[in-house]
Amino acid sequence: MFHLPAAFSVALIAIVYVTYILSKYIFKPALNYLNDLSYINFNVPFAISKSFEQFSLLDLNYMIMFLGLAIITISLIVLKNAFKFTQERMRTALFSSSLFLIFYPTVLAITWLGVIFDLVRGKRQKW
Amino acid sequence: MVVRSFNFRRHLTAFAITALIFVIGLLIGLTLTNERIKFTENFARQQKADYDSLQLQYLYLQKGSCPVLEKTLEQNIQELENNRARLEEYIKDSDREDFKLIEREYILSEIRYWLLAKQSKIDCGSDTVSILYFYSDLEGECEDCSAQGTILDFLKETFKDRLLTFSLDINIEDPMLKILKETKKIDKLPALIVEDDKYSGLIGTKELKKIICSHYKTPHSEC
Repeated sequence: MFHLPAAFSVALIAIVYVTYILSKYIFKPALNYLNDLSYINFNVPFAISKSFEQFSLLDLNYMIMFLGLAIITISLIVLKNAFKFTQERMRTALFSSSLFLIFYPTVLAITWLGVIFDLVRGKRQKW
Repeated sequence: MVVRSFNFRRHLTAFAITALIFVIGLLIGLTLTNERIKFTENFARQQKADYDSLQLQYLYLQKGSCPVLEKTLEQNIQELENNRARLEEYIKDSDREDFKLIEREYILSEIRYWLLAKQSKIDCGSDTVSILYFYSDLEGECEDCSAQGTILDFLKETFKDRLLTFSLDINIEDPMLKILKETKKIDKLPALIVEDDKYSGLIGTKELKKIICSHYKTPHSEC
């Protein structure tokens, strides 16, 4: 019971969470960076040369890179199998597939939390 | 209604794969943090040795070798600044206590070099301008600090070895930094001490350029 409201709730939580993460770690820093650049008349060559000058291999966050790559790979495998199973063409669903790649890991994480909760309380899922 | 059978083995496999991915991720993170600590610690040690050597060079060579010593001083300060900025990025990724101790060492090195630069100006009569930059990295404490940092980087690129910048994070617990904050009466961030004059709040590129230029004995080509 309540499968549709549950699916909507999970999707809503995922959208809010992903939007928050994107705004906090991508959009806000990007805006701040643009604001900083505005004080030096958007001198992009200077900004680029400064970044290259200071770059070191240790600066990359390999943990995030590995987890990101693992999540994207798993999502792509799931996506490919889903298309194979439904016998649909991948090209016709590019937009929905892209959205799926962005939101799927979060939706999956929330769904798994639900599964664990059901397992703990010994619920038998009826379909 | 169909009761779907629960495949415990499949769930366990999924859990094991997920756990494995996260454990590998965590191990990568830990190794990376340790490597970063090792790198920054080594640099701090190297800086301290460089500083001691430079101080000895000043004592030994005296006035005749001022240009060489000034060049080394400027290079050391620039390297220290670059690595301090790098360390700050590392701290954003990991709040390990080791990093905070290293950051304190970096700040003390900055103060040491600032004092040495002042001394060099007296002894060698070098036509350079020193800027002490007080900032905070804490969210909501200093909205303009990032912009002020970019402006200083840009001006450093413009004036090259004739501008020496020393950045100090006011949140680091250190008695020397506390004394410096109190004697310079730092109450608003960002704050700049250009030679001995204090400027509070964000100072734009043009205005700061004008201030720096006013301190040169022989005008710089950019002034």
